[in-house]
Amino acid sequence: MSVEANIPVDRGAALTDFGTIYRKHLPLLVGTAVAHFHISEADAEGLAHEVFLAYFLKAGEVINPRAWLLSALANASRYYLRKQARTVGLSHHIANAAAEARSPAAVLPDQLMAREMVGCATARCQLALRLRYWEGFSIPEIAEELDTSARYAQKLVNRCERQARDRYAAKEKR
Amino acid sequence: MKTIDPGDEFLAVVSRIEAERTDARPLIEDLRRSGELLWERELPESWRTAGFAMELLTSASDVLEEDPRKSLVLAQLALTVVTSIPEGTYARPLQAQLAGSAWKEIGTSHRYRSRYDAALRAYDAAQRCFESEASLSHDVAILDLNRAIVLSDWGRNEEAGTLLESAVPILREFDDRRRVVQAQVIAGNIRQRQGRFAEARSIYESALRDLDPDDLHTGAVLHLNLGRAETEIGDFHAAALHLQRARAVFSELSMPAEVARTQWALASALMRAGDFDRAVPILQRTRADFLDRSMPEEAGLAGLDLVETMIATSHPAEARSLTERILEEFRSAELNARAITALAYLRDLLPSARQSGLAVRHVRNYIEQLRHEPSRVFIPLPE
Repeated sequence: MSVEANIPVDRGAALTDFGTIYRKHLPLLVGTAVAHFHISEADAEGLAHEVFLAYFLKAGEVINPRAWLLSALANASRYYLRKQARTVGLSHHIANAAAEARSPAAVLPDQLMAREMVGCATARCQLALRLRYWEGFSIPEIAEELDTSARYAQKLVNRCERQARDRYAAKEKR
Repeated sequence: MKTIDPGDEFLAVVSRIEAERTDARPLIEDLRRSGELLWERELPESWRTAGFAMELLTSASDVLEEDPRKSLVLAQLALTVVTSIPEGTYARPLQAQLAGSAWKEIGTSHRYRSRYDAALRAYDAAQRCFESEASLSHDVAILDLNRAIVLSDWGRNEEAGTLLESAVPILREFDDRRRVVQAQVIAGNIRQRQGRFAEARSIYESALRDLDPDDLHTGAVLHLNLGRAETEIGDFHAAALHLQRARAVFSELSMPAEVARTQWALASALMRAGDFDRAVPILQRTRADFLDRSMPEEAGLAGLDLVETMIATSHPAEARSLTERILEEFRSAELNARAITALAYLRDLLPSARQSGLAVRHVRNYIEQLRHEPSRVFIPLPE
């Protein structure tokens, strides 16, 4: 049999230690990003905080916090540098246009462009619309995800589009 | 004017999320008890928090073993909660990590229900979330490990091996020894599926030596796998010892689905040793367990083991009636149509076939292979 790659988390212990681990390791992480990756101190601090946030979600499963944090920081720094190298030389206008083109929201029907609009729908509709328009699932894939028939999934998506539009319009009127 | 220390500000955010989790716990406990998930209502504003999503994910993970369907629904609700949190409420990496974790849980629930396509789709979605942020490389490696499990279950061994090769160095970098051992387990599984049982045994034995003594779960998995490998090699005594150890630990860890799988492996070892009297009651209990847990494929395969024992002990009418029941279960669970065809063939064949035992094994092996190769064509036994 296979193993489960999820590891049980001791949440109580995780939170008690988090503040201590944070205070103890923050200077080390910032210093490492600055010294080894030549990242500015302000950006290094931002990266270190991102790493701590990631750690926060899985603190209870980490055996060796120092090794974990340093590895996460090293990977985050490399990612940061790669991203910096890619964006250098692109004007804001081009970069924004490219980002917009890549966004799945760019292919949404006008009425569903806004996340806020979907947020007005019921939980089931939010899920169906997210699968359809953000994740690009086909109707049979949505049906499989929701444990239903393709026919019902198609009806659901249509109904949810209407629901999100109507509720958003009603909210706007108020 | 007093300036705010960014460290204090950060810790304040963390405390806020922890308070949200505390607030969410009783609400989610109610949801779990009542079974009502309010899908037909707009999510209350107070639910749209990172803490609420985190607690839902914890619940999804807690019930995964017992009820993968419920786990799926909880993880889907977590995804809906995360994606309905207004932009800017939390730092972007946290939202990406939560959305990715929700997708990962969704994928794992699908995997437990043998829905491999859906599992891989969910893991792809998780990857898009994790890869969007700099700080989530450990999550990406864990995801690769999860994907390797699906691919190896599916018989796509080469792809699984490639993923393991890329994930293990990153897991080592994070000193994630548990998951490094888990990767060894998957590598052993691949050998086992290829029929290289002695090699598989030696990988499992090596993993046992590397195992952190506190990692009871992976230890139990290793004993279960060693039990299966020993059964194939023909050392039933060693198999029984490993399987009993696995069963004891899974029971201690309250993992009923794994206890059922271990019982099933024990029954298979007894069947192979020709001890049908002891194998039958174990198989009956195991099959009932799988049905209760909405695991129709496993229930069907355990059922076919029972059919084989019925034939071996000269009970052909019971064997046919059980095959008919399994066929109905597969139909109502809408499992692979090819499996249904193979079961219908077996049902029609059973009253008259001279080599019924062989036919049962043929169909059983085929259904097992379908899990790895869903489009495999069924070829009946030669007349």
